[in-house]
Amino acid sequence: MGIPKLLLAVGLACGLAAGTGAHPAAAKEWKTIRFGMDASYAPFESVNQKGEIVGFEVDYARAICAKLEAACTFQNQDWDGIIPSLLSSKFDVIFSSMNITDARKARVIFSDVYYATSPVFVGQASGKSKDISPAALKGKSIGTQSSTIHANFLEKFYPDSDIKLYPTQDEPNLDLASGRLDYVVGDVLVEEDFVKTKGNGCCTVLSEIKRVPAIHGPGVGAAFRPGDTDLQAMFNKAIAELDADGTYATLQKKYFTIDIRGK
Amino acid sequence: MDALHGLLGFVFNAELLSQYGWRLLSGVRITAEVVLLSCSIGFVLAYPICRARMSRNPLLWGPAAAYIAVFRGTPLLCQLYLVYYGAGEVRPWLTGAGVWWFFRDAFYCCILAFSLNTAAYQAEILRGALGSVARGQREAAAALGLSPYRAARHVVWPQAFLAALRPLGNELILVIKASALAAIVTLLDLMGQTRLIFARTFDFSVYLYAALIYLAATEGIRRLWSRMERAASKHVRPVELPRAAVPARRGGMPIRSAEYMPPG
Repeated sequence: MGIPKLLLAVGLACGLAAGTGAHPAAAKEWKTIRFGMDASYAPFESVNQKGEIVGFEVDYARAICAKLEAACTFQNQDWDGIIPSLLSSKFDVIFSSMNITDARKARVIFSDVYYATSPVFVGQASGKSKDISPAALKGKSIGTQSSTIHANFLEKFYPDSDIKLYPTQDEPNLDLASGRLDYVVGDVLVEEDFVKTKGNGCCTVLSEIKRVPAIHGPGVGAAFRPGDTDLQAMFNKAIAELDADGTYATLQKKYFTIDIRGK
Repeated sequence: MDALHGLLGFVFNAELLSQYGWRLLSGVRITAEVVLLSCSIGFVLAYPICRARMSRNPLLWGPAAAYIAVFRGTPLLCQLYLVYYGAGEVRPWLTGAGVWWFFRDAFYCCILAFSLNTAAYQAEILRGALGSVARGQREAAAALGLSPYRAARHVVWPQAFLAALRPLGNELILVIKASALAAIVTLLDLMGQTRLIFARTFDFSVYLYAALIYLAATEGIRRLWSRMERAASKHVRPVELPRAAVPARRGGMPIRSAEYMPPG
C-alpha cells in the first residue's frame, strides 16, 4: 500500500470514528434504557455462573426502571472504554460505581450521588506494619484499577511507590494474593468482599482512606451523554423517590452491613 | 472549514504532546526492549527447536512438534495470562525453586511469554527455509568433498537465510503489534502509556499517536527489510549490465556475423 492510499485509509478511519460519535439530538421516549457496566466489581456488579450480570447496582437499576416504567438491559463493558462506549451510544447510562469527578464531568453528565463509600488499603496478612503513609510505602508496589479515582489518588500522593495499574479490580487483587503486590487500593466493600470470599487469608484490609474531595469527588452517580438531560432528570427523580419509599434501604440491607447511601 | 480545523486540532494536539510526550517516548523504549529481547531470545530458541522438529528421532521431533502446535495454536493473550497469573497460583512452588523473583516481575513474564511464542513461529520459518534449499545443493557440496559444517556454512545456510529473511521480518512486525498485550499485565509500554494518558485526558487523539508510532515502526522495518533482501539477493537477481559493458550494441548495429567464428 502506497503512502497516499495509506493516508486516505487513516483519514477514512478517523472520519468513521467521528461519525459514530454523533448522537441523534432528537428527544426520544425512553421505553428501553440500556445500562453499561464493568461487571468485575462484586458485590456491585459481577457475572454469575449463568453468565448474568448481578449485584447491588443491577437490582438498584431495576428499581429505577420500575419507577420510570421502562425496560432495562445490561451490558458488560470494559472499564477503560466505558465512557467512549456511552458517548458512541453503545448504551444509554453508565451505572458502574463511577465516582463523579471533574475530569469525567468534562465528557459526561452525572445524576445525583446514589452511594459513597471509602477507599481502603489492603495489605499482606503477613505484613506487620499498619502504617500506610507515603513515606512508609516508599518503593513498595501498590496496585489498583486504571482510570479510577484510586489510580489518581495514588499517582498524586504516592509518587515514590511503584504503582501498577490493571484493567479490572479483580487483577490487582489476584496479584496481591500471589504476593506480586505489597498493597492494593480499592473500594472498601469490594475489597472486603475479596478478602472474605477469594482471599483465602492472604490479605487484610488495613485502613480507610479519607476521601479527598478534589480527587474522589462527592460519590458515585449514573453517567449520561451530555445531550440526555431528560434522562438525567428522570433518574434524579427516581433516586429521590426510592430513598423516600424505603426501597434503597431494603436493597442495601440485602448486600451490605453498613450504610453506603452517603448522605 | 470548521470541520477541517477541528480535525487538525484533533491530530496536532500540542498541549497533549508537550504534557505527555515523554510518557509516550518512555513507552516506546519499553516496547522496543520487549520486542528486541523477545525476538532475539526467540531466535536463539528457534534453531534447536527447528532442528529437533526436522530430526527423524521421534523423541526429538515429537516434543518439538507439540511445542510448535501449542504455541502457534493458542492465543498469545492466553499464554501471557498463563505465565503471569498462572505463576501467581503456584507461587510457593516457584519460591521453593528460587525463581519467584523472575515471575514476580511483569516485564520478565512478558519476555518469557513472547519469547516462547515467537520461538515457535521462528522455528517453523527456519524449517521452511532449510527445507526450501534443493536437495541437489547438499549432494553437490558432498560430492565436492565439503565437510558437513562447510556445506552448511557456505551452501545451505546462505540460501536458507535468503528464504527466511522476509518471513522473519514479518514475524518481527507481528511481535511489535502483539507486544501491546503487555499493557494488560501492568507494563507501561507504548500501549500502556497510551491507556494511562487516555484515562487522564479522555483525549482520543492519543490512540491516534500510538497507532502512528506503531505504524512508523512497522513501516520502517518493512523498508529496512526490503533493503536487506536486495543486498542479500544480488547473486540471484537478473543483473542490469552497465552501458559500457555492452559494446556490441554501440551505434545500434548488431554483431556482424563475420566477427563470429564458429568452432571448428
